[in-house]
Amino acid sequence: MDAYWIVIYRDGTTFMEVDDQGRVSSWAAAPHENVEELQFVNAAMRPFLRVLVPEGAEPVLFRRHRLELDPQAVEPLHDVIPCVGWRKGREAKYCFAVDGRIIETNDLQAV
Amino acid sequence: MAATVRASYYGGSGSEPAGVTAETGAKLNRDDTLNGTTPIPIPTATGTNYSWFKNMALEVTTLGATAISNRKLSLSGAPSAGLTLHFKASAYTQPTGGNQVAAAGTNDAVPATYTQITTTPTVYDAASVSAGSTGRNGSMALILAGISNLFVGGAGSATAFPNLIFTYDEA
Repeated sequence: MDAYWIVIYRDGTTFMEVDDQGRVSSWAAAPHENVEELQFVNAAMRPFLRVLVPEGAEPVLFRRHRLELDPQAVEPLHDVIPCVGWRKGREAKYCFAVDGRIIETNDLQAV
Repeated sequence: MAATVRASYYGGSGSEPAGVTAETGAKLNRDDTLNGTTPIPIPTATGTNYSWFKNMALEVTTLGATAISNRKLSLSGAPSAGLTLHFKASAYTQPTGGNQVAAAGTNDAVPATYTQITTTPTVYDAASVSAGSTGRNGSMALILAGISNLFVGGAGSATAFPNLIFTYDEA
């Protein structure tokens, strides 16, 4: 992996996908309450995708994988598109990092 | 840790066998194999003939502490005129001449219970399933090809579709 997620809570604490000891956690293992911000960071720990989560909103974080079966290719084309966002009632915001661009949308299936 | 996932083909058995990689391609034929060449006849009048379906699914080959959901299928482009690709979610089912989809009397017909695969990703299984064990993840997608009277490419065992794309979410 060359991108990792970090959860920042309203009390200033954080939960990282890979902690200082190299232990890896799943998003399901991270507390989902009182999340203030979600980030994906690169290997240098610089955020390249982030979203502020409104109070009371449900945080959303995942990687969208795209596996293209090309018989002409040496190996399948495998793209990974990180997403951070939130939803609250009928409102939602999802941010996808696609080919160096950030796409903001309220449609979870837009990418 | 993220799981390692591949697109796999399941076939050649009455009960669900182990998956084999489908990432080097598959031939949509009229036999129960990954790459056999039993042909699909091109209709000589208005109508659509179908291949036998193939069982395909996502398969976890290296487990992860994650879950996979929102499994979708799409194509990298539009197929040649007269060619269509279709799917339906299912448990493993061995393809035979007995459960082959019957020919349709119209061109490019979508078989009942199937959905056409297009360039727009379409969900075949939305359920969240742990990637904490190896093996098939989510339901099978039964995939078949249709060839209608509109096809002008001629006979052959190397007629190509655009690339098949599996999309899934991992968290």
